[in-house]
Amino acid sequence: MKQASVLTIMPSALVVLAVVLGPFLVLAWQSTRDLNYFEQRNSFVGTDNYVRLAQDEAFLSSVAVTVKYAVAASIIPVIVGLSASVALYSAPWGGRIAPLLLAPFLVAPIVVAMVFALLLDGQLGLAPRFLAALGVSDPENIVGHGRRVFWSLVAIDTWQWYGVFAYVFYARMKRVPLLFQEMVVVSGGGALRKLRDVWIPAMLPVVAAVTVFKVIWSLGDAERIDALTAGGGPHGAMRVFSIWMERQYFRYADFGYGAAAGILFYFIALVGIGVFILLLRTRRELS
Amino acid sequence: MKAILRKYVVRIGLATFVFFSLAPIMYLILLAFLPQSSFISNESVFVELRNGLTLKNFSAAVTHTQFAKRAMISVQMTVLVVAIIAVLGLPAAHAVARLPKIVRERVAFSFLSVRMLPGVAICLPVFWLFNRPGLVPGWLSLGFLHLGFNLPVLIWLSVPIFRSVPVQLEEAALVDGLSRWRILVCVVLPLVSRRLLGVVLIIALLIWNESLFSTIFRVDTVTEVIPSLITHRGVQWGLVMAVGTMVVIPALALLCGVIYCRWGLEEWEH
Repeated sequence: MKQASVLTIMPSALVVLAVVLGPFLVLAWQSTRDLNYFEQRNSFVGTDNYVRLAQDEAFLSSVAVTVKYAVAASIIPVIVGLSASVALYSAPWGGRIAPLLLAPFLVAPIVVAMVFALLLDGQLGLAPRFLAALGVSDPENIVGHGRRVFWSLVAIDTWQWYGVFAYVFYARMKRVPLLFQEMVVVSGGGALRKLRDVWIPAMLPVVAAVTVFKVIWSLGDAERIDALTAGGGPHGAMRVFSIWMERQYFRYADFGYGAAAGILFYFIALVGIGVFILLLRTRRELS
Repeated sequence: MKAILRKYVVRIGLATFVFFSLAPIMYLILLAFLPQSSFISNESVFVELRNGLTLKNFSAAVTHTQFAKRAMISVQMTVLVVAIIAVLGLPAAHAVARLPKIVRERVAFSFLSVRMLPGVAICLPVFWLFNRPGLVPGWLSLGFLHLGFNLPVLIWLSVPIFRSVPVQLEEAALVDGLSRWRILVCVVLPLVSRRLLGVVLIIALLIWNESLFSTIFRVDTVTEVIPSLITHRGVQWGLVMAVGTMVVIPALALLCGVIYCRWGLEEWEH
């Protein structure tokens, strides 16, 4: 049985390894070289690229923005999704509404970017009119304003994903036996004990799984951000890692440097997510 | 009184959520029918509705962007890659689902960790290696990237589904002398085929909608044309919205399939 399962998993593992490890090794090789296509440079430099990266503020700030964005664009959709799932659960016909909330997920990221680019557009869009009505100063300037464009992108991501989360959470809530809630009521507990003894233990694993999945997903987000901010927004305020790396490749043809950044970013992500998962696991074991 | 209030709060809340979800899609479809002149004036697009609706954007999109050809390429790419992913990934997911808990969690996570490397970081070395004249056509690189990038997602999403099948059932079949493949095909798959189809459709949706890789490899997919409609003289909004609508409609069909397959309504833990 053991041997057979290894044999079944192997082809998939090999494909993933070939498609992912291959480029990864190329990246690792390139990262140790001074490789510039335009200037025809190609020589071994060891860890120089990494040393340069550690002092490169543009790179460090792109990592910071990416992490900030991935965390915000995971926690907020999960919270909104949770509240939507509570609303769905409270209505007897929630099951019929739930699929409607999946609709945003089906729109291609690039199409989403264009629809929201128009909504946020200084002249044509609805958002500036709305801001003006609220009395916000300089309402036309959303995409060119660092903080506004960040939160706009988080809001767009929330729009696209919260429905999926609401759907999954709602399904989980539906599968919690009513008996558990009744047991709390019979033993004289209130809403708070219901939350502590029924809802949190039931929901925590799925909420954690979904959050980890979304953080991983968001770290690589590029299409929408790139299209909406025209390559990174005002002063690179939204130049997330993917966009930064793409520029290293295509604008500066600085392959070695870009490759080193890719490797470094992967390990930052791996360590961050590993720590997050370990924290969740110890929490589960403690409780 | 409290119950009635609660009822209305829930209703208003749900109505808000549904509106929030659907309004931008309606907006997209509405804009696709507005004449190009509506996007030049300084008026709000809703004021421009007085000019009436038109189908011109669609006819312009079809001729201008060679949409039929692109749709053909996108469909072929999606169907082919999804078929390979399903054939490779589903047996693998089944095998992963039957591993002991600790190993299972680790294997599932290692597959998923592939997605931690941003798409761009995978894509650019492949581009650098293969994108030379006469070496490897762009669509082949693109197909392989889609394959390697979405296979882990399929495995990660279908392990919990396979886990929902009682292992005793498989053991009984094993005692009856069925081979591993027969067990998978004749015993396990019929039980979960509908939900697995849901996962497969999600993967199809992801590939159909993807635009970053196809832009880098310059493969003429349906989404690849949109960035090129952003020109120096401004965005051709009418065309963008028409193409967007035509990309959304097949995706809508796929989503209906996902919903029909009751995806996501069962266990989600590994």
